[in-house]
Formats: sequence, structure tokens, C-alpha cells
Amino acid sequence: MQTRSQRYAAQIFAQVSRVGEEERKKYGSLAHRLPVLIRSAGLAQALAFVRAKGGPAGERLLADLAAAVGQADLERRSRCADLLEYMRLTRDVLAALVWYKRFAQSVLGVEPGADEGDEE
Amino acid sequence: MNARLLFVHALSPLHAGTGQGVGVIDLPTAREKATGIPYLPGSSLKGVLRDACTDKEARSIVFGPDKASAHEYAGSVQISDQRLLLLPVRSLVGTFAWVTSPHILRRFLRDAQYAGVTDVPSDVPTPTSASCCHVADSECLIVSDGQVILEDLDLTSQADARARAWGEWIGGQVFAGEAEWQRALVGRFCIVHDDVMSFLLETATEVMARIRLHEEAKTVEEGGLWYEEALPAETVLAGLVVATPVKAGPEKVFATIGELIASPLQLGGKATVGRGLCRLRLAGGDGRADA
Amino acid sequence: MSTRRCCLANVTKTPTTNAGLWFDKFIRPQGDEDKESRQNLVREVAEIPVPEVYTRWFERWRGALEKYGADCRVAEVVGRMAVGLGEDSVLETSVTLHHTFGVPYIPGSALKGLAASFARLHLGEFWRPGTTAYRTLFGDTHIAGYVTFFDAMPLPGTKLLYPDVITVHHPKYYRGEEEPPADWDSPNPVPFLSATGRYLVALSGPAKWVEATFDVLAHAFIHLGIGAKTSSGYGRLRLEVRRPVDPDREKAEQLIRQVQALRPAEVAGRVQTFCEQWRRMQVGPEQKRRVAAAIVAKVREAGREKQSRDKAWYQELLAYLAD
Repeated sequence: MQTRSQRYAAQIFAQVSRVGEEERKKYGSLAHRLPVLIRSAGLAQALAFVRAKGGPAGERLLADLAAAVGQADLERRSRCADLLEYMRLTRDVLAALVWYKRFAQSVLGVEPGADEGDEE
Repeated sequence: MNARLLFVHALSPLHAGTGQGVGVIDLPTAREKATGIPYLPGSSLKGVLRDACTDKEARSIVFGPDKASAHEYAGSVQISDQRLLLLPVRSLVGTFAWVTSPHILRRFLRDAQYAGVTDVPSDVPTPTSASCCHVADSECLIVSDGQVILEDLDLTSQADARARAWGEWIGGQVFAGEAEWQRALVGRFCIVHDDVMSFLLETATEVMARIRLHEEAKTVEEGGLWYEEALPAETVLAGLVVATPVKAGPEKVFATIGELIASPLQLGGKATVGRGLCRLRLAGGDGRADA
Repeated sequence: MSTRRCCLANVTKTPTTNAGLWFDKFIRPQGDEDKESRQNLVREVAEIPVPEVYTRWFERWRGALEKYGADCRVAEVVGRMAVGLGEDSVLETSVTLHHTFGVPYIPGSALKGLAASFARLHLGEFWRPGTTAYRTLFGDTHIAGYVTFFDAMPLPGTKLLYPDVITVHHPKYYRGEEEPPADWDSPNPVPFLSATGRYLVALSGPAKWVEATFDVLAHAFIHLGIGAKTSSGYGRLRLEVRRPVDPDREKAEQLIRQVQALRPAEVAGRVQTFCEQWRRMQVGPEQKRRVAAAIVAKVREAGREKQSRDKAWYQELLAYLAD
């Protein structure tokens, strides 16, 4: 049986490999920033931020994350969940983001702190 | 028993680093593998105390001979890892709470008993569910409308005399002789469920972005952004100091340590940017008042 | 629609809310059309007073630094300061607030970076990276550097945070596009928090090097500035001259402490001796007045005003205070 981490790795590699050139920089940059943003702003606010400011790359990352953690309605759940579910969702998303961060570097070639390129 | 409790009270963020991280933080703070509880390695603390000891004779008999002749005899003091006892967590009311959990308190209780401390509260209250927490009383500094809100976690508060007893006891140790601070601690003391504690330990520590800028353009260098984790100011750690008489007896050991910790010490990593300025305090030992 | 967790949707800030927590996690709707919620958030955070517990903590902090052997000097912000503007935040314009207390501060790493940067840019050959002076102060990949830069914490007692806006009048021009600035570009105000106040800069290390570092910092504060928006004049600080110990004040403090330590039963017997000492004290009128006030307060506290009212020494004290 695959561990959660292995399952994440395979699925997220496939997702990140599908990111096109026009979204590459923004997607990678968001993947690097999101973990710390979740710690500072909390899962609910951090996901809302990606929705509001992330453009098409952000929407793609949200959809990918929702699929990876198996929670189709991730953003709404992050707001409405009770305490236990909220903590579990946060942990799942943070664990998945370890892989998004890695593949942002290795697959997309985006380093932490790199310019987002398509910033408004 | 030749053991005393040691309390470490961080005045600036404390970085007890482990090197490379596996998670999303580049430089995480050290944690116990099994429990995830942050700690300052005893060896690191012992090294700082040894360096601070300017009396050469005391240094060699208490801490052991200098490296060149280290094989000749062992030191007379052992210092355990200093484990987190209270984590300051940002609060919607009362600015911050000093948070702990049943598991942490029970571990601490074993240390306290080992050190022969007899007045420590022996009853640890356990929140009935993850969404509940215990506080000293319903009017205390961090409670509003029956709730404690830590970061964005909503907890139902339950006043509990055992929580008050713990808050008062720890306050009496960490803030000996400082009545106002003891009250401040009781009013901010909060026992959360172990699951909530481990969540807070993973997500509510301090993370600082560090950057290296290009000189002229003030833009971030490639790879010049990294995240460092630290235990925030007002964290309290605790552990044991054990005298194992080789060249120095327990009295000499505790007297020497007592003098060394009379002034604040700088512990952990990243010292040159001001991390880890700590007050230390010894307590317990055969029921005697400490030095 | 709120972007907070549902259970927190109606939570409002209190006078003891952690300002950093409110800033990070309690913004209301975020989106493109939510300028107002950003302005509100910035205003709310600026309204939160410096926590009382911080005021007491600061005294402990200053005492611990002195006991540790650090050298402390106060730096006052001239105008405004924006530290941490670029850090991760849902507002996109962050501010460095102390994790536990929520007050603005200047991280030791920022001070160290500023001093190193000034040394490289303006101090000539002697201070180039690789020189002994540079390595001694700032270290390199092999050694840590001999001078410790502690976080500069704010002195309590004044308001520290203010709502501010960056007005980008010519966004296209600044993005490097070719159009020159034209008056018809609509201003695009971005709210953020700026800080002011006095900050305790603390350094430790060999005295000579600490002194040299303070000199470097004093110049860097004025010429480079700290934090963001330094080209708009933000982040300038004036390093205050070390406050000389006031011998008058010391003398007065000493006597006041003795007076205050008197037990009520001792007052009748000993107050005249203190009065005698007070009369002979060679200090300025301000300090003399403080001591007189302390003695009178003690007499009243001991319930002996009635018995003392007719005495010459007591009248002398009252006359001095009435002056």
C-alpha cells in the first residue's frame, strides 16, 4: 500500500507536469508562498487569497490541491469545517504542498523568492 | 536525589535548529521524533554553560576536563534536553496565551518528581474534546464569551481549579518573586487537547522570512529567500540538571550552575541576529529552596 | 461573503487583540473590489493599543540586555518606517509585528543587513567584504561575526502604528513600459501600516566593535534608511546620544527609596532626619520637588498629617511644593 506521501508525490507530479508555460511562473511562485501564507493567514484566508489574486494559475493550483487532498469543495470546507476537520484539512494541504514546492523547483524551474513574472 | 528542575524562559525568539528541513520550512527548530515537541538539546545548553564558566577549576571539575584531556575523567553534571512546557500563542483576547497540553504536563510531572519536587500539582486535567480547553477561571484574560480564540481556532473554555493550580505553580517557578507576572501567567494559562497542541506546534511557531538582496537593485537574489522557524519570545522550556558526582559534589555543581544562570544567556542558533536570549532558573531538589 | 472561517465571521477586535493575529487572519472579504476591507483592516490594526503586558515586558527586556552586557541606545524614527512590507500576507503589504506582543519592531537581522550594506557601499577599502573589519563585525560563511544585533523593540508609551497608503500614480511607467507619466493615470492607493516611535537598539560584543557598529548604524539610519520606501524618505532614524546618567536624579532616587521604605510606625521618629537631608541636598529644583513630594506622601500615608501640620519642617516642604 502506498503511503499518503507516496500517493501525493505521484499525483502531484502528474498535475505539475501539466502546467503550461503561460502559468508556469505564477503557479510555481504560489506553490512556494502558500505554505507560509497558510501558517500566517490560516487555511481559509490563504485559499481565498489564491482565489482572489492568483489568476488562472491560482485557480489551477486550487483545483489541483482539492484533487490531491480528495476534497472537491476544499475552499468552502476550509471555511465551514469544524475545528477537527479544519486542522485535518490544514495538515493535508501542508503535506501536499511539500510536493508542490519540490516540483515547482524541479519540474517548473521556479526558485523560492523568484519574480512572479506575470504580476499585475 | 541529585537532580533539579531547570526552566528556560525565552526573551527573544529561540532557534534550536536541526539543519535541513524536510517540510516547507528551510530551517526548522528541533523536535522530538516521537512526539513532535520542540526542545533545546541538553548538550547545546551544557556547552553554553561551560563556555560561560570563567573559573577554570570549577569548569573542569563540574563540566569535565577540556577536550585535550577529556578521557581522564567525566564531568559531574548532566543536562537533559529542555522540552517545551509553555508555547505563547497569539490570542484574540489578552494578546497571547501560554498554552500547554496534558501530555506535556504529564511528561513534565515525571521530571519534577524525579527532581524531588513535592509541591507540584499532581492532577492533570484533560479536555474532554479537541474543541475544549481548560483555563484558570471564566473571567481570565484570554476568555471572551466562554471562548478562547487562538490563531483562527475556536475553543470552548472550561474553568478548572486544576488548571489554576498548574498556572500558579509554574508562575511561582518561572516568575519567582514577581507577583504581577505570576498573575499574568495564570490569566493566560490554557491547557488544550493534545491534538490541538500538536497542531499549534506545527503551525503556530514563529516563521521569519530571511532574504539576501542584490546590493544596488534591492531585489531578491536567486535562491536568496529562505524561512527560519523559532520558538517565539515568552516560550518556556523545562528539563533536568542532574549531578553525577565525579570530581564535584552536588552542592558544588548546583552552586556553580546557579551562579552561571544569574545573568541571561544566549541559547540556540542564529545568535548574531539576537535569537535565544533566555533567563534560566533552577528549582527543586530535596525540597530545599533553590539558590 | 466573508473569507474567514464561518465560526469567526462575526468576531470583532478588542483592545487586547494581538495586532499581528488580527492583521494576518481577520481580514474581511478579499477580492479585487475590496479596497475598503483592506483600508478597514489597516485602520483596525493601527487602533489596537500597545498591550499593557508589553510595557512591563519591555522593562524586563531592557534589564536582561543590560545584565547580558549588551550596549543599548535609543533610535527615534524621523517620520515613518515600513519594515516587512514585502513579507507574505493576504494584504500583500505586510508589516513586521512582534509575534507574541503584536508591536512593530526592527529585526536584528534587518539591522545587521543595513550596517553591512552601508559598510560595503560607503566605507571604502577598509570595510570591503573579506577585510578583517568586515568579517569581525558581520562574519562570513566560516565565522559568525563578533557583534550581536538584537531585535530593536519599541519603547512603550506612544502610539506606534499608523494607517498609510502607497499611491502609485503612474503604474504603467513604473512597470518599465514606455509611456511617460501622464496626469490622467488614475491614482491607485494601496493601504499599508507604517510605524513610528523610539526603538531600543541593542548590540553586544567587544566594546570597541560595538562602538564602531553604532557609528555605522547612525550613518546608515540617516543615509540609507531601514525597510521599504526609503527612496520616499521612509525608514530614517536618529540614533540618540547616550543619555548621561543624571547624578541629581540618582541622589534624589536614593533618598526617595529610603523614604518609601519607612514603615508607618517609623515615620514619626525618622521623618525629620529625612527632612534635614532634603534641606541639605544639592540638586536641581525638579529633583528637590520629587523628594519633598515623597516625604509629604509618606507623612499622609502614615496618618500623621494632623500632628505635623504645625511643624516648621512640614510647612517648609509644603511651601516648596506650592512654589
